[in-house]
Amino acid sequence: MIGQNTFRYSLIAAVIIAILTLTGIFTIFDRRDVIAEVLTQSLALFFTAIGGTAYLVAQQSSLTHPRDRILNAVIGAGIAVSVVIGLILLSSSVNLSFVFPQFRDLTETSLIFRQENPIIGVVELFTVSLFLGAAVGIVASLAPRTQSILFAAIGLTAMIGLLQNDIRRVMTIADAVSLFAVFALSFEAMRRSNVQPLVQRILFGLAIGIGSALILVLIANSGALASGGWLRPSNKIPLILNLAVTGQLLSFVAVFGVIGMAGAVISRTPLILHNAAWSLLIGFLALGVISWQDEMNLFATVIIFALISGGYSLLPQIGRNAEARFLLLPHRQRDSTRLLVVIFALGVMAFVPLFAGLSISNTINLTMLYITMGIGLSVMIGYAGLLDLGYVASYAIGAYTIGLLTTPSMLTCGGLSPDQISEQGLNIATTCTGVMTFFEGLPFAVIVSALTGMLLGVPVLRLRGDYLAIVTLGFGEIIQSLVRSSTFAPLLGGPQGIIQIPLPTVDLSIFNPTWNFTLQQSTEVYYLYIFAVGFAAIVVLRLINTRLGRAWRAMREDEDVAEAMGIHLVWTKLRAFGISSAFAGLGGAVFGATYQSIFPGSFTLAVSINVLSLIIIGGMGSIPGVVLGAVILIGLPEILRELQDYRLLAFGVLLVVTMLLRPEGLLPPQAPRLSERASHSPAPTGD
Amino acid sequence: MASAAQNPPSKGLIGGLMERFRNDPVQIVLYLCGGIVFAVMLLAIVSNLLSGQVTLEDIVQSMIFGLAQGSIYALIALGYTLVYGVLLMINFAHGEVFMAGAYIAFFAIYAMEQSGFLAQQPLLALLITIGVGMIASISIAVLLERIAYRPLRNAPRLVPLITAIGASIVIRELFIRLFGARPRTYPEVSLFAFPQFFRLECSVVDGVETCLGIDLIRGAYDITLLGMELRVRPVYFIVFILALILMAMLWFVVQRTKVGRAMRAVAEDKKTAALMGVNVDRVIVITFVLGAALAGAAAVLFALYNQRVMPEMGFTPGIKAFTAAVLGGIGNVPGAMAGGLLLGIIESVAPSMLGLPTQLEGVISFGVLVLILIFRPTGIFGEVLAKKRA
Amino acid sequence: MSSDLLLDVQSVSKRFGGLLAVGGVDLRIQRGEIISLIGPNGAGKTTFFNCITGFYTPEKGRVIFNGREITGMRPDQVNRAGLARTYQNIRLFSNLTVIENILVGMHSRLRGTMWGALFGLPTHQREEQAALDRAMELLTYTGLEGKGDYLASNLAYGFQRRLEIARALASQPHLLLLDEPTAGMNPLETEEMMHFIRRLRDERGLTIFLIEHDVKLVMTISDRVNVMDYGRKIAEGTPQAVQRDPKVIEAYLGAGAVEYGAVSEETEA
Repeated sequence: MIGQNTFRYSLIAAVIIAILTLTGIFTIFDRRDVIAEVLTQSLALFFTAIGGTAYLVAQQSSLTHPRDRILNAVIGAGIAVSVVIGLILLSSSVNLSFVFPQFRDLTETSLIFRQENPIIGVVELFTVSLFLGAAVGIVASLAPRTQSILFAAIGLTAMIGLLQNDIRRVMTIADAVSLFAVFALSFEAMRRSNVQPLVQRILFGLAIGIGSALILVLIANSGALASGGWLRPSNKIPLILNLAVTGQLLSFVAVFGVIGMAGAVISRTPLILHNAAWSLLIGFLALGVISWQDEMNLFATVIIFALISGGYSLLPQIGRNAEARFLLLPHRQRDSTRLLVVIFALGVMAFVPLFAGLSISNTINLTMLYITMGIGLSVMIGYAGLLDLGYVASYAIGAYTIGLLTTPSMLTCGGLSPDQISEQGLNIATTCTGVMTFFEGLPFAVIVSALTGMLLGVPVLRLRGDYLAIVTLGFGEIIQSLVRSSTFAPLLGGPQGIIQIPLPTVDLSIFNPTWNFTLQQSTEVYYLYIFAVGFAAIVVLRLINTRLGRAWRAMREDEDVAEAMGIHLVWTKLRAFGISSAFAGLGGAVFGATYQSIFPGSFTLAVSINVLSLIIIGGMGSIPGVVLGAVILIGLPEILRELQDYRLLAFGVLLVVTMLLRPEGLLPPQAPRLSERASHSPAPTGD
Repeated sequence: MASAAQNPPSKGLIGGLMERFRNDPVQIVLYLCGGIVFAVMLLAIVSNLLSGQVTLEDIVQSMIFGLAQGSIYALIALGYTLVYGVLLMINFAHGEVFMAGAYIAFFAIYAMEQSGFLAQQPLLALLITIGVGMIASISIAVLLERIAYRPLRNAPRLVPLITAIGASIVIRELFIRLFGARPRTYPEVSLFAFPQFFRLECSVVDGVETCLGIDLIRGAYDITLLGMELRVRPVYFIVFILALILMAMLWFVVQRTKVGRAMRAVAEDKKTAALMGVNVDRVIVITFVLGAALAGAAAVLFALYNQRVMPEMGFTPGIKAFTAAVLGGIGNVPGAMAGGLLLGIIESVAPSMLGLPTQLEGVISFGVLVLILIFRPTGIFGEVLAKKRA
Repeated sequence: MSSDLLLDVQSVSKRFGGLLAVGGVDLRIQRGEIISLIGPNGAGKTTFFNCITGFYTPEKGRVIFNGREITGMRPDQVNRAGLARTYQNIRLFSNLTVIENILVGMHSRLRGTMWGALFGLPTHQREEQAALDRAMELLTYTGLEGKGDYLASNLAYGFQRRLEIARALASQPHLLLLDEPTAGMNPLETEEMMHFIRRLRDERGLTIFLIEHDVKLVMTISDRVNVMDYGRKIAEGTPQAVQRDPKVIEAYLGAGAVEYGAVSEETEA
């Protein structure tokens, strides 16, 4: 039986696929492989599109029998692939480059499996697509949970495949397995035991960690770590295990001690922390496998797929048990557990640059810059309900303030521009006495951004959402025009911007004369970004469940009633403007100092759109949402360079789709369970 | 919001202001800032006029251009206003609807140029181009309404707005990816007219002098009017007149036809209109169609004198037209027309009068927007739907 | 002037365009009274409420509350002065939890500043804890115990009404304005609400001013009843006196079928 919407859905999907094909997407994505020698990005994209169509068709509610699902999925795949085949043949015969400049000859891509004869390739493509359709039809008949495990595993495996070049040197298999094993050992031991008090569990975990470390020392020293030894299959030096043979025994034992403690603590934690910890370790294993195979080949793909699907099917149940045990703990221990997990997380983050290397650190830094700004904009949009499209203005103000304060400029040279100084033959060093270091300038940058944010807020305070959006958009454009204009060029540098901004230095020479660090490389600057994110997150977390935070959210829900409940709308809004601008300014200042130069071109509308998209897709008003949004929208495209061209398009589509299907975003904020915190808390209600 | 502000007490200007200040110290700051801005502007204008940096000729010449530019803004602004009137939402993607009209119409006029049809029948070809532009804009707008806006009709306010922003990015980026980001140039069109009045472009064949007349599209002529020496392009007047005709047609549709009555009913109260047998969905689609048709026509006219079209061309006119709509009072159809023309003129005259450097021209329209929203948020002609706010 | 006078409204007028919504209405409320305001649909009752609570600025007249003039004050200032209200069509902060709704209600009674929250000052934490504890008390008092962590939008209708009152109570008002507290309730719920309103006065010493459609409810619990029609006050007095007033009977003649459960639709809200 053919479903009533089969043709409709297939045709809509086919049109979308055709439009994408015409943008030349299959040529652009044809350069790299997802699975080495097996699957190019183009083909992966193509199969995703065909599979997606087939799945959409197979999911129609009118289809009940698996046979029908398979039949319809095959039809859907067939229709979609036919359109692409038509375009492939068209592209090899007609030159459409005047209308569609990016649409090239598709017979030169992997879409026809590099066949000499395009006809054979096309037939092959058609056949493979039909089989894919059938497979999707079968999958669509499985239980929903199985389906979601399957999709998650496919998606994450593909993601790892896409990132293979950037992550294959992160962690060796030996390190990954030993970390995983010690964590699992300690977790399992504490799960089985009835030891409840946190301190005791930590001590047990520590003991397990140290014990394992000593055994590992023996193994490592037995020659297993020698080149070609069984702990070094790919001839890469394990970062952690190598500590054991290079005489840094103490650090080695410490690492495993901490891992052991982590396992012990995680055995009684809320579900989400538990799953996050295990996902991290599974991620380590996946990284180890990639490093071992040195590329995402078929073998690595199978192993990683198995790891992820296995983890994803087991974790929720184990996690629920861990949460159940957690809920049995006394109130105070629960709080300290949470605190400990935060400390562990910070510890893990402190070591990230060690593994990640320069390029990944750079990506992480950019992601964190956007997290900082996202948290700020979250205050405006997610908490206070004020749609700000000119967020880049505050970002620019922060960057320019730090630029002006830390370089010779009109601000620091007694009102003389550098040009005037050289014209008048003055000495820069003696004239520009006001030049500050980064950390001296930072508070000013943040305060100036906050104040200008509030000032800009004044005229738009009483505007409702849509007007506010357009006026703030205008502010962004005005700032852009101002920094670009020649009128202000002596101060702001015009199109050339401000260059040679000094790097941030951390001067601790009062403790030790050698402790004077310049944060130069991305692995060092990383810590500055961590600081920025942490600062923003802590401020927001502290405010959100207090009087001001509640006033914001009340105002978002119903302005009139909020006012009638005694909330001073003007002040409450101005504070939102101020705080959110402060974070943008913080981000801008850190950005300016770490990239050492700022140009008007860095402060376009695209910045505002990026931040807006990431908080909306991640989940407005939730910090985990902001983090997730930034990772997906900023981090990923940074690594997947092919995506750059499609980045804004994808953002637009994601914005629309999110609003249509899940307006609260991927990780919406959780309502606080305040009744637990009351002094004489009544018995919990059970759910 | 502050309902009191919408119903200002009738205590005279001073009394009213005092009342507002007492309850709202922020107003003082606002009025102070606004006053300073006005004073500075006034000073700049006076000094520029007195010092002779700006001549009357410059101003008149800019105004003529401003009239054409303003007509374009007015046509786009009508789309914002119509949709706002019916749905109470800002169709953020309207600038992209405008762009789509100009861009798709480019392919039509290019094909006609290649086939020689443009040279043979310039008038017909231009009308076809305008038609294609309108159809392209209408298609985009209808798709937009169907896919992005209709499912969100009852969602909280921010949701359709964010969707509209997303949709505007999607359309723009899709055009960039499909057709490339670089600008495309409209072919040169000459449309000669009125040889009886203007004896220009003449040639003598067999002793008989035949004249083509003035070139309505490409021509630029020096004329002397009231002692001022001006260089005038007829295309500006053509754009203005065509825009007036289109606006008159819209006015007729809204005021005199059944569809227009249904639109006004839906704008007043969707539920009641539906009870009265008005097909609300259909009326909303028609509203989008009307707005898009005007935007599409405006787009082709804009492209005729600007020549360059590119996927990013919709953003700035879109924002400026929105400003125009706010200037005239959003939801108010004649207001949008007047607001558009006014903004076009302000924008073309102000830089020279204020002595602003060219890079800061973009600031003007936003400045106007901010000033309007501070001092008269309901626009010059008032929001028709002011009561439905809050 | 007796110090027992809590609210003194002196010939307040408000018009919309040409329409006179409230025309020169006088009203006095003594401390500890339950006063009600009735009238047919569109009589201007809610507009009158809005004039008192600062939503609208009346064109003429004065509102004196607790010896202080509050005419033309913003709603938040009015709330600070000790007036709290509920709404005819329930207006809760629907994506906030029940407790959070109540905590927002306490806004004007809390002193906590942004800096106190940022630095986690002990005074600030004590205040927040005390506020939370008081919110829990209010939950119990209004019969919402155990529902504190629900989102307001997930509460059943009757509980939403109670939450709205709890939120109003949280601001420790002297005068509570209830706009049709029993709209949309069944007889049993109405009965409960009646008792509850009386308890508020008897146990908490609150003065209560309510708009009602349900004439029966009004007549049983009110100390005095005011009647409005076409924006003007046409009668005032004890329930018995008002019931016999010919002007009132005339005003209600057409609307004689006012039964409870009928959700009114006053357009000016």
